[in-house]
Amino acid sequence: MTECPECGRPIEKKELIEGEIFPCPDCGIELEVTSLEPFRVDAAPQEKEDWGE
Amino acid sequence: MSSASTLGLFYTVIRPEEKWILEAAAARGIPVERLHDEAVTFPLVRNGFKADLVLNRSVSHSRSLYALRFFEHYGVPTVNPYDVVALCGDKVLASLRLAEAGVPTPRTVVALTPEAAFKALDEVGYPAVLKPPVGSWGRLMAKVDDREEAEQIIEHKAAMGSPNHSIFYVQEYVRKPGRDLRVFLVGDEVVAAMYRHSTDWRTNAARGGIAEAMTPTPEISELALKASKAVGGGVLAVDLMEAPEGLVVHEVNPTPEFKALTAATGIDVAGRVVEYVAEAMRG
Repeated sequence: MTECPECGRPIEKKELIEGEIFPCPDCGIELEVTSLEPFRVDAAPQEKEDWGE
Repeated sequence: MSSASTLGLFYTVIRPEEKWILEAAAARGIPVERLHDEAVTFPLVRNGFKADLVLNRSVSHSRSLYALRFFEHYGVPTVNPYDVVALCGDKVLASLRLAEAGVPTPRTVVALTPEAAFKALDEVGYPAVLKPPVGSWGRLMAKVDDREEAEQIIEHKAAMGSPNHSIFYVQEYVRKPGRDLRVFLVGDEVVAAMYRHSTDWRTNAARGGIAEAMTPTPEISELALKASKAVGGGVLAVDLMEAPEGLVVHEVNPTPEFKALTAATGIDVAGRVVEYVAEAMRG
């Protein structure tokens, strides 16, 4: 268990994998799983100018 | 495929697409080496990684280009290859290649200075669309309705100072029916297709376009395949618009997203991508 760095909502590891991005269920900010052991999340990287598909 | 063959997944973040690719590989017994584009280093002589083929899912065009060139330098095949990504990632080069292959595209004029950009806009006619040569998700694209707007936008672009905003890719504004078409191809096969509806003139899913499954007509499939072949083929999404004079291809995406496409069609796009790379690894 960890918490959203923006709103403090508890975040459970569940089926998440390292590197996965997902929205915080409360505040909606995009989060990234930065580590599984120990479980940590941080704000997802900001979109850069050359990002796309 | 021998049990030793490992798929390298070069990525920036794990979105649903990348997670599905990892799951599809696991389901097929294909070992995956995750190569995070923020962490990998590239010496001139290969060391330290095992992958027999690298599937590029990095969202960064510049990181993709250098990495793919390095992987090829190491003798590791990539999907897509460097040349395909370099071509598709630059709207100017992609337009040239599509035109050379006889693929209909929106009328396009390129200008290399702000002064020439006004001439290009006059040649295309207002309203027109101004796009950065490199960029995606509809970012920093501008619909230019008249000369006054053009002066403001071009002044802003010039002030940004980046070389990417000092080259002006001017395209006709296509009066399409509130939607465009996306066709997802893997090799020679059309895997899935959808309409993208939007009230915004940009129909990108990243801009909130609504996806609807679409069964491509033979004409749509043939045109998408022709566009894919023109740029070198691989795993590509071809975007088309229904212009008054017929279908036009406006983009070929070399690292396509398919979350909305999968949701709309129910087709296992990730599975098809993984089968394609598995086939490539079998050689």
